Amino acid sequence: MVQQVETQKQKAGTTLVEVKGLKVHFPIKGGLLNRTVASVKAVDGVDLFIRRGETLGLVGESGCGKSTTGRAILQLIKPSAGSVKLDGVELTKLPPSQIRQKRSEMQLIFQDPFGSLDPRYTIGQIVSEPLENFRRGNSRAIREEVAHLLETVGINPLYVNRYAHEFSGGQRQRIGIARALALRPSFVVADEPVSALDVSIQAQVLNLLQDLQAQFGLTYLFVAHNLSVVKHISDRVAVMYLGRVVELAKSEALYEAPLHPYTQALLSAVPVPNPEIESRRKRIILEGDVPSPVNPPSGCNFHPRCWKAQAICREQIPPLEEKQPNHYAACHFPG
Amino acid sequence: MTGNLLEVNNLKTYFFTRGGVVKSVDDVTFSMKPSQTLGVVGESGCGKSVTALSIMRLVATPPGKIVSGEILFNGENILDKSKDELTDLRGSKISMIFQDPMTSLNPVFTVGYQIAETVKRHRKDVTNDQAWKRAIEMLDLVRIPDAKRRAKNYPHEFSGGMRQRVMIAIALACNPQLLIADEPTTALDVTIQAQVLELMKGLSHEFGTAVMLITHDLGVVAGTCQHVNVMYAGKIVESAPVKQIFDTPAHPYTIGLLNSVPRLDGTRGERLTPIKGQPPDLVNPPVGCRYAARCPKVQPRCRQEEPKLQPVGRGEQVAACFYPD
Repeated sequence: MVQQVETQKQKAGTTLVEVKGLKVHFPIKGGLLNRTVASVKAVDGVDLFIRRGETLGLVGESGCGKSTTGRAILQLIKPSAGSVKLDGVELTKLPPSQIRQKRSEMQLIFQDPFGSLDPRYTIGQIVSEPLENFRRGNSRAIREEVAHLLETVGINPLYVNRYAHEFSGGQRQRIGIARALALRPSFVVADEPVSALDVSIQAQVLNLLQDLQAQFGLTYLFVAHNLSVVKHISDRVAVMYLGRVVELAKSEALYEAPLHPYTQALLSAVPVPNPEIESRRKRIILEGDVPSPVNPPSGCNFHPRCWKAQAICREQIPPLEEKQPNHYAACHFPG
Repeated sequence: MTGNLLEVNNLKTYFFTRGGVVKSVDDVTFSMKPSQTLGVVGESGCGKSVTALSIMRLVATPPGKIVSGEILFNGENILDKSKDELTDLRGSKISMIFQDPMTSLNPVFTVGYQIAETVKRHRKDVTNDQAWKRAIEMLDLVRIPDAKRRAKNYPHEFSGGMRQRVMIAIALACNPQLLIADEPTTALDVTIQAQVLELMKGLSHEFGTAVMLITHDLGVVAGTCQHVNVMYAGKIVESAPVKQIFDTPAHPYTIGLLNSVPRLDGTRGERLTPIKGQPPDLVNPPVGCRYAARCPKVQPRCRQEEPKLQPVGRGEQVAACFYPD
């Protein structure tokens, strides 16, 4: 185990996950013959890469496709097009049996600490299930490993025989994290892991995620809508709008000098707990709502709400390009 | 009359459940001036929503019950009012906006009808036509584009942000003196949240409506409120003008809350300082200060005696702590 962590750390900085042209379209059936009449373009051409040992934050508003992207990377939803490589292995082409083997390397932490744990299982059973499925040792070894995992996430191992409902939201989230880490994955998708928690508990879980990353050499894709939380935990951040990544950069660069107008508006909308800053801030108030992903606008998706939009924005999709060193944006008029 | 629009004195709202008596709001006292914007912050279960529901007399009875205290609105005790007097009051003098814009509108009536209905209920001399006109006027005011046509639409034809605006239109249709907004933007995305908050700020300013904004988001409070009450485990632990809450917080819980949120203006990678442990069980709240078990500054006295709200020597700022900062 220690060896595994060491090799993870040695390879730090190389690309672990590479996503190219990822699309997930959900068909809408209708009409007399139940034919596909349209599709929800939830994810519509996402490119990104995640380096080993880093945390990539994926932010955006509801319905922008960030959770679907996370799940499509893990092959929990079958992508409609595009490629996903984990450690150089193309996942979209693998047969189901091999995907299943790969799952020990990639895991998911869920948003809802109440719905994601089976109420009829003890927490010991919940955490040991992945170990049993992958036959990691005899029952005694598994029992010891479960105790160790629970201790690592801050749950008293004496509670192994208790059920999920006996724990608070924050504790359940810790149990979900222990389960995700049971097989020592190298890549973890955390889908809104703290958004159901109160602020004081949220801080505990965020600190735990950071500690575990250092301890196990984990790589995170951290999906969230809260920009302050994402800034706090991520090395780099990707901003999504209507199924596409519109900006991808190092945290500091993205938050200090966003290039895409949508990122600028999004950041200006986040309230800061400081009345003086708040009274001086200029808000960019976007007009209207996010368009429907069934019929996204032509060209740049954001053009109907953008104050910089020109004729070209309505016609051509701006590609995600490196506008500044390591700072990617998909905009015809960045800055 | 002391010039206060609302005075809540020693309010106790308990819930009588099989597991015991939950002391959701336990001896809460505060007041609001006309046109004031008051923020009420705290984590889930601290009693902020129950306080609001008590003012509206909307606490489900049973299991809930306002056990004691008084709520003076314009000098009259709301707790002494009859059912009819209450329905006259609600929606005309005091209005409320709820968290979930998806379920707070009636799906089988058009939004125009739902606004007009409120107007007609409270203004006896208004004709149907006038009420409908008022509905369109209100939709216009909350910046629903093409209000005349949209008034004939049903709630499902609106997005979340627009529904919350319709709720605001209903709440403000009769020019209430007090608007209680219970987590009005929690279910909305940040850019939509910014739209709705901006709108509420503008309208309350224009009409001189006092707003009680209940939220768990300290950022929202910083941008919209003049005064803040911080609640913890059924009690107000600190109350101060907004600047002082953020610049010189006095109660350890307020400090803990401020330190545990990641902030957009903070530096990355800094470790957060969480508040250890969990809020107490309100069936059997601990003796003494309810925050004692989680407090970094706890002393033996805190576990024996309950601290009362006291001035901390900085103007209006009060805190319920023996050892305030």
